[in-house]
Formats: sequence, C-alpha cells, structure tokens
Amino acid sequence: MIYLDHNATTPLLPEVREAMLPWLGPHYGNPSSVHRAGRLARQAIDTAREQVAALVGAQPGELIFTSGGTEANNLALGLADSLAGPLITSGTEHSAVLEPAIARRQAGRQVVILPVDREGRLSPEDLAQALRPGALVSLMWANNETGVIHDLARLGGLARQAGAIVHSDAVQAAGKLAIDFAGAEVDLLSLSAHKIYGPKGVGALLRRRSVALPPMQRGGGHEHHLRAGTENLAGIVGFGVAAEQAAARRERRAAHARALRGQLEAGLQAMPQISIVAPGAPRVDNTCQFIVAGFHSEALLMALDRRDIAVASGSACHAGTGKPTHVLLAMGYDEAAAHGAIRVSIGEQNSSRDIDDFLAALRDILHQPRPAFAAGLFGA
Amino acid sequence: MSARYPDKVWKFFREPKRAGRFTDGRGVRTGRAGTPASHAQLQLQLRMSGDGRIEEALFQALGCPYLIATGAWLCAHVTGRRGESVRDLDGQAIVEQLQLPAVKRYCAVMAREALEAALDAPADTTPASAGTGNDDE
Amino acid sequence: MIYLDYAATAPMREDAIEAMRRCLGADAQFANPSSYHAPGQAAAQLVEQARERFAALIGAQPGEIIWTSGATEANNMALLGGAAFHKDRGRRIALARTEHKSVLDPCRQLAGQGFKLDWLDTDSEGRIPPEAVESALKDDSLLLSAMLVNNETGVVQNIPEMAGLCAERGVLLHVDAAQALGKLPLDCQRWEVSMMSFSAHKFGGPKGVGALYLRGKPPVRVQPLVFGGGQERGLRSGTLAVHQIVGMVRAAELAEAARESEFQRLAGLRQRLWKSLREALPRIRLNGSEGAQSPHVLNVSFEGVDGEALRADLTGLAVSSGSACTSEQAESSYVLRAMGRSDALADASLRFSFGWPTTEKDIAEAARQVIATVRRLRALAPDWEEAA
Repeated sequence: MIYLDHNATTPLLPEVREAMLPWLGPHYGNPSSVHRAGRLARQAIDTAREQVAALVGAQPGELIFTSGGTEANNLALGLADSLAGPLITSGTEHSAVLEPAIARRQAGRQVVILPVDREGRLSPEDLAQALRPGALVSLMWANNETGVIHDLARLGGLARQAGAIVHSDAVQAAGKLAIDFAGAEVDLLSLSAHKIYGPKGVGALLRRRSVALPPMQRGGGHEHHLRAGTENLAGIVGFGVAAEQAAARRERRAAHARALRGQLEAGLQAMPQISIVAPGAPRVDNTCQFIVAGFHSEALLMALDRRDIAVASGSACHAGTGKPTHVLLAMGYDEAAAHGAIRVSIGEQNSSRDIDDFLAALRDILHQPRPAFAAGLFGA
Repeated sequence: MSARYPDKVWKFFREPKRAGRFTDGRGVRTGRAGTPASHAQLQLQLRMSGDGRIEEALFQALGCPYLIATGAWLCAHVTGRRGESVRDLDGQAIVEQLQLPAVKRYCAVMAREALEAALDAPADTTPASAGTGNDDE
Repeated sequence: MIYLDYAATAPMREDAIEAMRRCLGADAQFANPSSYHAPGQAAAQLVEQARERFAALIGAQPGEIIWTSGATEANNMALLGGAAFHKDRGRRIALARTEHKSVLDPCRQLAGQGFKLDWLDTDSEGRIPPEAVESALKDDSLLLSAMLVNNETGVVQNIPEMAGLCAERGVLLHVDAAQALGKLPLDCQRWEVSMMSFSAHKFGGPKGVGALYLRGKPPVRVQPLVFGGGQERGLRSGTLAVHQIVGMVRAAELAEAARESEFQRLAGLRQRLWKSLREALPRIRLNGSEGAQSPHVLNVSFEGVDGEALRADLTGLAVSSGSACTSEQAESSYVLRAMGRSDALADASLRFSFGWPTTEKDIAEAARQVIATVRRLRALAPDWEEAA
C-alpha cells in the first residue's frame, strides 16, 4: 500500500509504541492515586507534559491534555461563552472549530466568519474590521486540506493589540513548522498526537495562564480543573515521545516532504486537467491539494484505492457525506471544482518511488475511457 | 522513605521516640492541645527536676504524620533544657525544622500550646498513673 | 506493594493488551476510521465490530453505543447533553450526594443554569430507598441519575426498581455503571434505563476510553458537547481511537466471561478481609450494605486514628480513601459523610478494592499490615485507652 494521507492520521512510530506498552501492561496506576503506582503514573504524565510543551516552546504548566484535537478546539472555543465580544474565525477552519462556532451562532452569540481569498489567505483589514474588545479569534495555523499557513504573527498580533484572545488550531502545523508558543501571538493552541506519529485519542490545549478558561468536562479536578476524567495514560506517554521525535526530526521531515512534493507537483503540472490549490500561498511542506477538472474525487479515490493507494479528497471527517469540502468553497471554488479535489499528504516513510507510482496511477486513471469517472455520474 | 513527607518528618512518624506517657506520674506535668472534636490532639508530659530542668519528655498524638513528628521533635528539643528557656519556643523554628507546609502550620501552634500548658500545669502528686503506659489499649 | 485499589484503576488483561498491540503495530490498521480509502474502512470496520460486541454484552443494540474518552465524558454528555436536549420536558434532576464527581459537578453546573436538583437521601448503608425516589420525583422532573455500584463503598442500587418508578412518571434514568461491568449482570434493554455510562479501565481495558449507552426505543437524545467532524452520528466528534476501543471491548468480553466465578471469589476474599479486621480491631465500622454489595469493594472506618496518618503508614499497601479523583484534596469522603458518618470516621477510612489478580495471600498480608498500623497509631493517641 502507498499511504499518502498523513494529514488524516499517521502510523505510530515504533519508538512511540514501545514507550506506550509498559503503560498498558505493568504500570497501571491511576495518576490521581497517592500510592506508589499512582505516583509513577503521575510522573510519566509530567514527563510527557514537558515533552509536548517543548515541541511548541511552551511551559508544561500551560498544557491541558484532552482526548484529541477536536476536544481541544471545542474547549478553547468554550471561552467565547465567558467573553463579551464576538467569536471571529475563518471559513477555512477545521469543522472542529467551525461547528462549535456555528452552534454558538445558533444559540444567539455573535459569530463572524471571515472570508479568505482564492489562496486561502485572510486579509488583515477584514480581521481588523471585525475586531471588538473581548473577542475570541480562532484561526488555524495550517490548513488540513490545502496546507495553507495563516500569518499568525501578523493576524494574531493585530487581534491581541485590539484586546482579543487568540486561539490557533495547530493540529496540522505542529511538528511541521517551528512553533514558539512563548513568543507567538496566540493565547491558546490546539494539538493532536495522531497527526505527529502518536496515538489516536489524545491531544492537548495550551493556554496562557492569564486566560481563564471554563472547563467543558467536569468532575474530578484533573488537569488544573479544566478537563476532568482519568488520564489516557499510555496515550499521553505516546504523545510525549511522538512530540520529542517530532521536534528532533522536524527539519529532516520537512526537507523530505518538500522534495517529494516538488516531485509530485512537477508531475501534476504536466497534466492539463489538474490545477494545484493555493500554489502561491505559504503551505506546510507535506500537503498538496489539487483539482482534477471534470472528475469526481470519490471516483478517483475509489480507482486509486483499487491500486492500493490511499489519498483523500478533503478532510477525513467529510468522507462519505457526498458534500464537497467547505474549505474550497470558502476559497471561491464552485461546487463542481470542489468535487474534483484530491489531497496528497506526505509522511516520513514515503519515498520518491511512491510519488512516481502515484503519478503513474493517476495518469492511467485519467486516460481511461471517460464515462466511468465523469462527474455527472456521481451527481455533483 | 516517602515521597510525600520530608525525611525528618517521615523518620519521626515511623519511629517516634519518646512516644507514650509516664507510668509513674509523680512529678510529671501534663499539657494538652486540641480537643477530640477538632480531631487533632497533642499531649506533652514533662518530668522536671527541682531546679526546673526538663529531665524527660513524652508525647502522644492523634493526628497526621506532621503532628506526630512535631510531638516527637518537641520532646527531643526540650529534653535537658530548662523549662523557662523553652517557654518562648519559636513556632517558626518548628515550621522550618520539619518543613511544615502552610496547611500544616497548626502543628507548630499546637506544639506551643501543649508546651505552655505542660509548663504551667501543677506537678502530679499521685504515686502512679492509672494508665498502662506505652502499651496497646 | 500489594495493590488493592482496583476501583481506582485495574491492570489491563493480557488479551486486551494483545488486541491493542495489533492495532498499534507497523503493519496494522492505523488509518483514520473516517477515511474513505480501504485502510480507513478497515479501521472503521474494527470499530463497528467492537460496537456490536460491546452492545451484546450489555443488552443493547449497536446503534445505541457512543464511544467516549471515558466515564467522565459519558456522564457529562448524559447530564449536560441530556438536560440541554430535553429541557422542555422538565427542569428538575434527582440524584444522591453519593454520586461520583463526574455526575455531581455537571449537575451543579446545571443548577447554575436554572435546573433544580432534588437530593435523594441514602440510608446509613448508602442505599437509596424507593420512598426517597418516589418523593423526589415531581411533575417537572426531567432526569434521575444513579450509580449502579458506588465507587467508594461498592453499594449497589436497585436500578430496575428505579427504572420502573421513572418510567411511570416519564422521567429519564441515567445510570453510571463505571464500576459495574464485569461485577454485575447488565441489561440495558430489559431494565428500561435511558442512558448508561461505562469506563474501560475499571474492567481491564485501557484508560482514556469509555462509552455511553443511549436508548434507541423510545429514542433518548443528547445535545453534543463536542462538535466538528460528525463522528458517532454527530453526537461525539473527534477521530476515533481504534486501538482504545478494541482494547476496551476485548477486556469487557473477558470480564463478562469471568463475571460469575469472579463474583463468588471476590466475595470470599472480601469476607475474609472484613473478618480478619473485625476480629483483631475493636471499634471499626463497615461502610457498605451487606444486602446490596459489589464484592470488589470493602470500605472500613477506624475509630481513634487519623486518616492521613493511617494511609501514610500503610507503605506496603496501595489502597485509597474515597475516590482517586479527590485524593489531591484533604477533605474527607463526601460519600461517607452523606451516609451519616462523622467527619472523623469519614476521614479515617480505607477503601480496599479487589480485582482478578487479587489472591488470598494479598488479603492476609493486607490484613496484617492494617492491623499493625491501626494498633500502632491508636497507641500513640492520647485518649485511646480511656475511650476504649
């Protein structure tokens, strides 16, 4: 199998797996227990807290472990309920930000969803216009579908100067870009373990101590009273090791991904039906989204799948809904174009051969007799 | 060894020397701090020489490891000294000696209370106390 | 170190670790179960198989199971989400003060949002009498939340009886069953409960995963607490942790298969420990109900000792007082106080909890250590002889 869907999830690193196993087996204490077994578990969590915080230049005390990036985003957006200003976000955010925002709009809160340009970029002027004191601004660091990087230094700085609190979903940015939470223009930052070769079911929210965050899940006083529930011990230990590896391998991974994406995009540019999304915007190195004119992505995915190649159309969360990705629509693509989107996301185990094979398979599929892949057949 | 308590506290708690009370009560002064209702009690007994020197001290305590350690430390501290010289025992000294955390500072207060009460108590004149001393029940 | 704190958390069962290990392996199904491609669908299939198998264990349909990050999340979802969705049906919630914090805290939050809490008084054994339920349920009662097995005392509530009373009045019943699976038989369908919460790490599964049963007929709905992604029919978004779910269900199957024989065995161990302590130590008190008791918990209060000193001195024994979740705080067990114990007795208590690895030797050694410690501390106390 050629797996080119690393923005959906990544395989566990062997180091991570080895680190997790003892915490599924012999070390089973409850981190809240005061006896030795419990204290051992607590220490393991403290170590992981340091490792994850170090990946993004944060203090361990600023980190709250959650059940994943989605919960971290929901927890961060809960802050809007205790602020007086509007909740401001962008149309290309992950649904774990957009949906809680929309739920709040339905509950009568003021929610502003900022437009983006054709390359997925926000205009600082639009943001400035929407800013009010007491606003919560949530802008993702890097987009999961297009890879486009928001200029958080500029946008976040603008928002914070205007008295807003800034949250960034950095699930797709951590481990790919250098992040320094201490110096960044954000107050809250979401992370997920399984996007950086760690386990599923664990994530984190970083929060500056000055931010008074209301808890979402109550009962037990865990995680500074911000996130109740017995900790996912093995998962957290795995997250720690994955974060440590991500920090150590970040530049190597980025260079590797950059080389392979260059190879991929050179191949794609030779295919007349294909246009790359946001080629002019800064993007994380491992992500390339492109549109195949006149084709429906589900048919393409199916055909690639038959050749044992795993890629995605947009976000994994949209799979099977029959709806095109909201990200491309927000960037001004029409539905037909958005339906033809394919996302390739490269991981550290991919080789140049994988890219060649993918390109060959794609060429082959595109040159097959048209009807089976015509967009109309799949009800665009 | 305990990760939760300072070494000194732990040692005093696990092997409290000078725990118990005098089987022969003659010449013994008894001071108490705390009440059964407060769920923390400290008793200090002093056997004093004619010139006011504390020849021997024993304690009993119902309370946390810090209180038990405080009782044991107090006995060691006052033994061999003149009663009047320890009367003004500095509570802060106990806090520092035993690294009492903020929520356990009452142990130092109780130590001072028990010591003062013992120094002010009349010496027992009965020939022997009814208790069985250091034994169990 | 003798571990007798299985109600806080239990070691994983070997088979469950093995099942997880396969999901975590390099050649295994690591894909995102929401992904469209074949590896994604294979991961999704693992999740759905697990759902079917778990449902079968608790008398439910697969569509009635929502995976969560644990019982705390399941309880929060049931209470906050259930109350939000059904708020037009009533504004009163009935519960006992002996519930777990992950039930109490969300209910207190609801109280701040205009809901009224009706407290169910327990008797001195920790049981909620049917009269208490009847008098607490009012015309505008929306929900009753009760735990099947109490985490501190092991006391079992009569859930089928409560379900009947709730059904008569059209009140939803949420059951926190975090401590129950593998100890008592569970039958969501027959008992007519509306919602039931589960936690994997209490029965030999991994930490960080649990489930909420949501009755399908008549349908019980909750408003989601976590949005975005639409997993679990939109009720609980977030990438599903396949290995966690697989480990949970394998552990549940093993626990259920051994349930009856373990019940007998643990009841024997529990009886033996209680008898050893009672024979050696005067003035100790059982916190539980011999008539309605899960055999995996023995909770005892000791007069004449301080709770912190008691627990500190038991260096060879991993036991707890109250729930693990509250152990950071110095306060005495609110569960025991709700059962009428004094602060002193609630504080000077030990919860022994047993699991499948517990042996008779563990019990004998635990009894020896506890007896020695209690005798030592009582001898240190100024008034013990007089009071005895």
